[in-house]
Amino acid sequence: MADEHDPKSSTKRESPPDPSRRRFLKGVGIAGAGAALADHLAQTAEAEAKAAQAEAAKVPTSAALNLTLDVNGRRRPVSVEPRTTLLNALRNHLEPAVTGPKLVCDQGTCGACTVLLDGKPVYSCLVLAADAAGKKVTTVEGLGTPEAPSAVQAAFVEQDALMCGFCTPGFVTTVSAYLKKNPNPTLAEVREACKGNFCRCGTYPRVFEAALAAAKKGVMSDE
Amino acid sequence: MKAFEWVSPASVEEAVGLLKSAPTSREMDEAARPLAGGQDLLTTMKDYLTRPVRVVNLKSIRGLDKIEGDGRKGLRVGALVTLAQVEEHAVIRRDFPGLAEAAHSVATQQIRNLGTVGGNLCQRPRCWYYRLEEAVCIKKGGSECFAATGENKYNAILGGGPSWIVHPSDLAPMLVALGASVNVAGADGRRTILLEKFFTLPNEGSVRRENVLQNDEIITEVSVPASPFAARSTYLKFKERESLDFALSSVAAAVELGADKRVRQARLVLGGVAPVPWRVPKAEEFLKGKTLDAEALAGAARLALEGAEPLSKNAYKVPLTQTLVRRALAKAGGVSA
Amino acid sequence: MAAAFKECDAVVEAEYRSPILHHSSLETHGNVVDYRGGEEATVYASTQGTFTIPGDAAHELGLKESAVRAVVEHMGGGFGSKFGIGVEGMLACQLSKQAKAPVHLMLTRKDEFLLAGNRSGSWQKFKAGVRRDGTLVALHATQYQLGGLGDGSQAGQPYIYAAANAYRERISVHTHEDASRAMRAPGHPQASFAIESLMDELAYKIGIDPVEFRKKNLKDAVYHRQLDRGAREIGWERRNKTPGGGTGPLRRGMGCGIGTWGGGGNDECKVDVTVARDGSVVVAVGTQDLGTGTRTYTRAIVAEELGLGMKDVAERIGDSRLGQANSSGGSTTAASLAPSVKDAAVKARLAVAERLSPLLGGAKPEEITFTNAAVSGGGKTLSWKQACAALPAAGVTGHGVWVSSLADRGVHGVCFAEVEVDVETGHVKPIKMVHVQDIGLPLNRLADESQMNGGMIQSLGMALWEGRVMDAKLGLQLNAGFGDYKLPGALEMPEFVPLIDDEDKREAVIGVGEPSIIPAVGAVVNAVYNACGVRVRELPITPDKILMGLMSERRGA
Repeated sequence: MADEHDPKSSTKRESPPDPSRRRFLKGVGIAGAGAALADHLAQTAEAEAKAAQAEAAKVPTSAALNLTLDVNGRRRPVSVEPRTTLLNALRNHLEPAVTGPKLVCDQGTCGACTVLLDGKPVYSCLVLAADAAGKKVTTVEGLGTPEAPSAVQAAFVEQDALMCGFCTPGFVTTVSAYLKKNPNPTLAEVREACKGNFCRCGTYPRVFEAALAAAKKGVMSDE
Repeated sequence: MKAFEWVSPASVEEAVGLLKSAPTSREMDEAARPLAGGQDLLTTMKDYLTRPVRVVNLKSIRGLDKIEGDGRKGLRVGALVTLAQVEEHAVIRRDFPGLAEAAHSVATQQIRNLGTVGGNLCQRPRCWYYRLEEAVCIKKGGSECFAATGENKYNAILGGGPSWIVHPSDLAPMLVALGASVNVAGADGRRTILLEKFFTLPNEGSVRRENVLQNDEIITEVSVPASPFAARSTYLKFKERESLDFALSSVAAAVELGADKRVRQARLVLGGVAPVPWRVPKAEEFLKGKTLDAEALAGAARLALEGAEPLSKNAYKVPLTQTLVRRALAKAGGVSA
Repeated sequence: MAAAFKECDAVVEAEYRSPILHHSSLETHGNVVDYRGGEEATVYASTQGTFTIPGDAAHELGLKESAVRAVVEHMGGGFGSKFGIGVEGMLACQLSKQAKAPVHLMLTRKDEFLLAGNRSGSWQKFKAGVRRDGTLVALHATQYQLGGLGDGSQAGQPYIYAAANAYRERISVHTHEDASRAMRAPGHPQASFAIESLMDELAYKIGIDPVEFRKKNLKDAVYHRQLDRGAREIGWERRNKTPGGGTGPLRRGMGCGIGTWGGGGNDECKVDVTVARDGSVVVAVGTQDLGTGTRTYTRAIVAEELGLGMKDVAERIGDSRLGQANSSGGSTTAASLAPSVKDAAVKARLAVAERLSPLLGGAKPEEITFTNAAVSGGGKTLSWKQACAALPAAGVTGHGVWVSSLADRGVHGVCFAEVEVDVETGHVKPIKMVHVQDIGLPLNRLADESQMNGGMIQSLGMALWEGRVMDAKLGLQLNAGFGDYKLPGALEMPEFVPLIDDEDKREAVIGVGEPSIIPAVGAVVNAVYNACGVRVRELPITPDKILMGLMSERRGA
């Protein structure tokens, strides 16, 4: 259940939120302020936004929604139209943008936009940003970094499990979630887990090998 | 996607009220729509097949995501229960295995993690022409079903006319076979509808709809009665592309066997071949008292497809579905096909 | 021809059709055009030709070509469809010019199906005759190329085979569909699919092992050796002795197919390898990496030449401000680029060695060795860091040009496939595919094998699932999306055995991207026939065609 839709988590407000004040806060930014003040301002803005969302959600609105997305463990405020998908919000409305998930089919039929929503793989092109607020969004960026790649990311590199790379963030995300659920899968299980992700270059056999290699490594390092 | 009003009500009553009170439009594809998992609705909106003025978010309503009961008491599944929940639910897997199989057969885990039971039953057809914005077919207010004389390999062989769509749901045939009902809430009150009566053929009701729901109505719950055949239920789905596809044809079967291994009663419902889940009472009747040997399976398969009227490019669905009927019955009955 | 057919012991007349296919690059076509007025503009492009962009953009923006910079750091697949800036790029230029702001314009997936190019469809009609001993005596082919507004492409028949009496005509049939473009080995998979189907039909008709029949009609020994190796690898003797034979609903079968490709390199690439005084090494060239391993082998060649590790070298590519490079088409990138990189690396090595000679007892530059991050000569050894410290402040740079002797062209390629057909549903399950490919000197075996896997997988798509569906009355494409245009996915994958033919002793680079997509289509089609006895002559082989084929066979029997 999204936080901003939960009446219990919202602060009662007498008057509607003052958009000019929020704009002011956003405009000032936190660059020039001391750390404590910055935190305070950020928290205030966030609480205000949250309260405003909860109120606003009860009456139909076509105005921009002020949401807070939890992306890779960071709270990211964003203002988007109701029709904005999570994928669109991540790629085009956050600054800096989160571009790991790719826009490829825009119909939930290819898997390139796969992200984890509360740990479960979903197509972010088929989720409204408003629906993702209050849930944990994990993208390929949240799984590891080029300097410190996760076991799955490292295995993809070692096994040459990518060619053009456009499907790769989706595959890495899907495989990572699956190995958490099933740390020691068979090839058949890996294939079944990957069936919602499509590749045109033809990396499948090596994606499977990478998943199995990562699983093996994971099991060994646990021992 | 066209812009819309967004609202997240806290109760079913509020939700149906918001559907009812939405700005009216003469165009039915612009009516307010409820959003559950969104795995179909958003695709229709992106292709401008539906252009709702208002989207009512049902996920803000508490209590619609529960699974209760079992094979003895009957099963109650909230409309917001996801397909992933259904396929992984231990009691459903044990007491209603066909339902778990049907849920598992849907698309991919990404879709099943969000797609809901209610949404799966209410999804729109996959017909190429319906899904193509530029083709104003009879389902979209035009006068013609282009599939009737066009590219119809995926279209209906049973119950077609004046539209030849097939119903795309995998849950629907299985739930019809299990005798399920849906609880529906609307601005004017609540009603319970036998799922078999929920879906409408193109020549009954509006050709532009696939079921009896009014614009201000939503499914709140699916209930599956306890039955002597639920434990021997199965769902077989045939896809052109295993990884991700809708059914070219599917069969939901459930049987009750006596101690003598003879069929006491059977349920047989076809998917992917008709505009609604296509129950075949004649085949069900035929099976009564028979052991599920090759002859009985073949007989049921023949009767199941009786009356099929293939279009120019989908005659293959007849032998294909006959195979699935034989295999599904054999699997449900625990014999080899 | 008529006289020749009279000599034949068996004649087959058949028509084969393949539909229009889509490249389906996961990244759609598009650009970010950044022109805010003034003298210069930058275009970030998804392209196979970095250097095809500045001229096109300059034309739209009214600037000099040299004033436009193209950047292609990464791109999400092209397969032949991404040369030049395209209408989408022209639009982005116009918009950026008017808005004086960067414009990001990518095609939608549906646009991609409707206007971003395709592989032309084919309709090939044959009459072919053989003698009882398997000799192809006469072949008459009428080849229609279905390229929409374009001409389409199709290799001429009888493709790799020789017939004593052969006649062919090729005709472009125009429709109002969008024009076809180059797509991975343009014209070859269509031609190979048809001729390999025909060869199979002839072989079965006169009762000769299809592999033996092919060898009989192929003079080139490389084909013989590759056929033998592929047959061994797949276990050809396990094939269905009678097509469609066996009991139960699941029937397995095997088939083979053959292809050929040219490739080769050209002298368009200008590569700089710079060694800095701090020891860092940069290889720079404007080329693009389509996912074919260009970055990797560019870096590897330099690292090897300088005796360094992969991590010690950085490559800079995908930028028109860097050295000129050719577009990636015709499998010519590696054969053009790799020799130029090698040349630049050798020159950089010699330049470094020249500077070090006095420190290494006056050793001759060409005798100074570079291994394990150390430089040795005249009985002395310097670490790489020490060595580079002796370089001038600007470092040294080797300017590489193409060395024709390091590139070659002309490859074969054989594929074997095993499939399982459910004769009660028409479902085809690919079991195993073996591809044998000569590629001269492999630059990176892992990447070469990945290319071969990719070729087999795209072929599999062409054989079993893919194809544009048009409504004839409405003139609309019905399957312009990834839900309905069915690319093969994880569950469609068989076991793949990509085999580099190491009997090819050419010490020269040849591209491998395209040859691997050619022979597999015929192999899969023939395997389906061997499994279930139904000869499907129109792609893709979907379950409806197999079921209807089986039904008409039963009616005929």
